[in-house]
Amino acid sequence: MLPQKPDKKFKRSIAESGGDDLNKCYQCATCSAVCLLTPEDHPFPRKEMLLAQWGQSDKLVADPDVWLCHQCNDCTVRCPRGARPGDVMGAIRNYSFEHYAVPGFLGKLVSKPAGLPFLMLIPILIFVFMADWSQMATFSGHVHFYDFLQNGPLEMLFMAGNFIVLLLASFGLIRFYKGMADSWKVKPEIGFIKAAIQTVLEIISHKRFGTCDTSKYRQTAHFLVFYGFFGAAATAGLALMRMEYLHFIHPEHYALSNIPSMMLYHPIKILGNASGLAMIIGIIMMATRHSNDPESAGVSTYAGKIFIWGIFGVAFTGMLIQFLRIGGLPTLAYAFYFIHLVFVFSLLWYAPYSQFGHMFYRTFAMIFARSINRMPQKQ
Amino acid sequence: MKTDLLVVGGGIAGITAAVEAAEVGKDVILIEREHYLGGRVVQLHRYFPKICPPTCGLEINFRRIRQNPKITVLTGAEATKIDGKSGAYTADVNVEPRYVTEACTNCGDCAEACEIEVDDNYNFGLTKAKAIRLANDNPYPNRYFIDSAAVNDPKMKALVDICPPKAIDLDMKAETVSIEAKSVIYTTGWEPYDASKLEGLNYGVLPNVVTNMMFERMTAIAVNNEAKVVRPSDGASVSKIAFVQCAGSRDRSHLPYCSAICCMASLKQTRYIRDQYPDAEIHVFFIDARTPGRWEDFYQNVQDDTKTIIHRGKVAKVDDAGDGNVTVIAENTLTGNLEKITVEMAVLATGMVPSAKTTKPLLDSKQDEFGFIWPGGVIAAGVATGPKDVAGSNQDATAAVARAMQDMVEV
Repeated sequence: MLPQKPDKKFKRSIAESGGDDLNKCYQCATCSAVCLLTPEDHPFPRKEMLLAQWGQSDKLVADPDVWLCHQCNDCTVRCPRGARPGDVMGAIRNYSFEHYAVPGFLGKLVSKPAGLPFLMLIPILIFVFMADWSQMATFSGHVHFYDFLQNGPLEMLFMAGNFIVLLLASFGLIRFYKGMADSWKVKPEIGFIKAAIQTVLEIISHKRFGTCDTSKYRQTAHFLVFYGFFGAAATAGLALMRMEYLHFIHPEHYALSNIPSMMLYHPIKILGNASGLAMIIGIIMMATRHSNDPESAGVSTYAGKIFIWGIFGVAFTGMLIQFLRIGGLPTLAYAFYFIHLVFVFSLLWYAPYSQFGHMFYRTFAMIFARSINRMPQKQ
Repeated sequence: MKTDLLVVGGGIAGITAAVEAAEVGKDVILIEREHYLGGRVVQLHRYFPKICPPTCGLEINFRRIRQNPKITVLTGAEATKIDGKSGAYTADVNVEPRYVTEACTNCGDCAEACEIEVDDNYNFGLTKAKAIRLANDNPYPNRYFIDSAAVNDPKMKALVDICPPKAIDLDMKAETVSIEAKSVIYTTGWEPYDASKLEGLNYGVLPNVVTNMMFERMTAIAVNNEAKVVRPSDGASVSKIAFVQCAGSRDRSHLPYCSAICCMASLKQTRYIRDQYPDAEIHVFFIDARTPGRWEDFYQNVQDDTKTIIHRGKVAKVDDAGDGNVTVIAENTLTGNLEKITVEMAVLATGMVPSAKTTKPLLDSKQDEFGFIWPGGVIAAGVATGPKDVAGSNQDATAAVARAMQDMVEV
């Protein structure tokens, strides 16, 4: 099979999103020898460096190893040439989001800073339309988010939206999985379902993260953000379900516009606050290591920045509006609620095209790798 | 003292410069910091590409020095001040005492009786040395000396009477010699890079991880005693050994440059092993095998050895495998597999750091960020100007003499 003609657009993309020192690599393979996550058979990331130098984008977007990498940057720190293999792997992942994007134009918009205003415009317009802005007139008084934005439309929007997003993401993911299967012509040793279950259990434990040497703090940081995010999403869902439930069992007593707020010791509230705090602490851990120890944290890219700020924005505004509600400041509370929703919408619905998409791609890559028994080297 | 040429550094480049200048009628003073001439070459067991013993090349040069009245050699000598310009330099040279006079006949009674031992830097800490000793197996000057670290030891006094020609003088003092020279050449050579700085390779932690220069001394000492080279921890004979190339070389965190000769040096060392252990399994790990010119032939011969396995991949980790053994870890980029090979000993091919980096030349010099001396300032030759082999050092020294002659000619 002939190699692909070197993909210049791919090489430009790699250079623009963190892999600008790629050409310094002289294939010494120190990176593959120090990586603790690589399998022993055809280890990464050296071969990815070579394939990237030659612009072999077709192979790289279908390479599970690109996603088995957890960006610990042991390789970047030890690379004698400063070619930053860890950052190159990250750049390949950024390229993959755009490559697999359906529809393609959304992938392009998410990948460029110039696209950000257009992307933000969509949720801004939607929520400007949906909200009752007259509620903002009261500066101090009773805060009731239902008055600003009703449950029903909100729930419909997110459920429909999530469904559409998952559908669009699945197009890319199926192409991705097929691509991996075609390029690694190895018969799977275990079936997809079994591999998926094992992978999900491994992700829940965050065991693989702890293998890396240089960025051990990442295991804790990601654990906090990961569980914080799911906890916050669960909180939102549970809070809405509580409202619907109370209204359902006592419609006269509990009008939807008149559901009492939860006390801080309410289990859902505790979950929400713990989750928000976990997200904030986790993001701060990631961001401060970023600036204190640049090489081991990897280079900062536009895609990385908007992802980190997106999560931080969601968590921060979420916590803030709680305090604004308790403090009885409707104008500010509703304003930040609006901002919060814009952040949440952007994070969730652009997920397949942004770095948030790693939750899909890395999971699928790990499932595939597990199915062909491509596991990290024994220590 | 007045002279035409002052050569600073008595390794092979300095010796060559001195001899070349003297044999066209110039007066030369050759100063050397140690108590012996020969620098790094005399520390080698053999040198490539013809696997010559250092005595072969050095002996002829020592004879030329000895027979030429125009060459003055000062050992234990280090310049403390050099001023002036082309055609008129003045230098102050501090000459450390040997504590042994010219009456010495090399009988060796003193060393036999000596109980005091000192750190042996000549053998990179592999052995301890007697406080009074010959510098090496082919010393020039061929006379005993006392290590300054031990000269004040009370047991030293007893040795004065043991010496038959009464050549031991513990009251010798350092002298300052003033030299006027028309030209100066720096041939200060190199030091091995400190391997303990190499993360992941466990040098200094695991006893059977040694450097290329240490392995050179181990082999030289063994063969001199008509024995085979063995590994440091337990003296076990060698049946499986790994050579780790580019240990700290071509590396932005250590020596960013290539030291040019370590590939050949390690390939040469595989021949040492093969000579002594016909069945030993030898592994060599390269990023690139740098064997230009006629060295390619040498590399071909090593490749033809069926029990020498060449791996294209740099060893990034050396782990403890128990029982003194070590596991070297590298990706073989040709087969695409991660290799973890357990061997009895690993030899790290560490690079050359110019001595001029730590001890800056006393005249204005153009040095790059690694310490190598470039044209434009003081005249230099040998590894002081860049990594090279023996032949290259000699050619460089001859060229430097031609350049120095321009300073000696009155215009």
